[in-house]
Amino acid sequence: MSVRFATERRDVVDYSIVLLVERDGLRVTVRLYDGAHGKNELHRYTEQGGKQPAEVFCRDTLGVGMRMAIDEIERGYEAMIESWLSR
Amino acid sequence: MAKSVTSEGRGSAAMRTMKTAVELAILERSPYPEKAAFVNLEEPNASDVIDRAIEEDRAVVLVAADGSTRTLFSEGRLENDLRAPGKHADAISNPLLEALDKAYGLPGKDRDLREAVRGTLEEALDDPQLSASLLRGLAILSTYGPDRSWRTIIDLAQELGMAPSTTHRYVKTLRAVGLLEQHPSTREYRPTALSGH
Repeated sequence: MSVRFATERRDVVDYSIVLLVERDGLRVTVRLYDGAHGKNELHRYTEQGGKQPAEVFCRDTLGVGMRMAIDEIERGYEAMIESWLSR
Repeated sequence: MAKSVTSEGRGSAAMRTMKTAVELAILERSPYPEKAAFVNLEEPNASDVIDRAIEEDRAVVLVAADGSTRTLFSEGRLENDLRAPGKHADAISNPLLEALDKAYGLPGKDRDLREAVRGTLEEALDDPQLSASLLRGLAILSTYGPDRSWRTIIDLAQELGMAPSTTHRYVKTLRAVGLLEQHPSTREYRPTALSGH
């Protein structure tokens, strides 16, 4: 999991949480959560189709969404990778 | 076969630092700059994040694999990890403690000086132009004499008329920058010894 984020005072103003797998020495994205557009968005990736359209996964603040994204990846990364492999 | 990337992943020291940083920012207790970008140094495109942050006039908190951090300010200044106890002891605590020891070390003047310092600090707390947090931190240091005897949080809080939770926060801060040290078994605190003393 790759995490980066930006803060201003108590607010998270941007973040990017990426679940990656390593294949043949290359890092490939499986899932991306980000706050780039001021919303908590999720992009699924598939092995064949690449990046899928954004879905809003949380309507709370970016700080809440970011923590939720980390928790989701920590709890469900195996299923996410399986899903990525099967599509 | 694909394998998950775990070097920056679950349970790593870097990840713990990142998560703690978010929690502290939300609680308005962040030790990092108000406007900051956090990036794991292990990331292949960390340099892009750094460039972008500097363009946005944002400080960059570089998180190493062991969870330690360095803060790169937009003017190019690099500051080491403020959370690691003792790292700044030589740079920060020695001059201040030397001054305190010198003041308290005058024969027969110890109690009078300590009370004078306390009085001055209490008066200063009424001045809205001064930093109350800094004054309270100095008040904690002023309770120690040259013998540097170990003291509990409760003891310090009672002497200063501060809430134990507030005292604990200040003591923890003073310890984080190396001004106080904690006894490993009794959990009491005292000023860090000067080198050569």
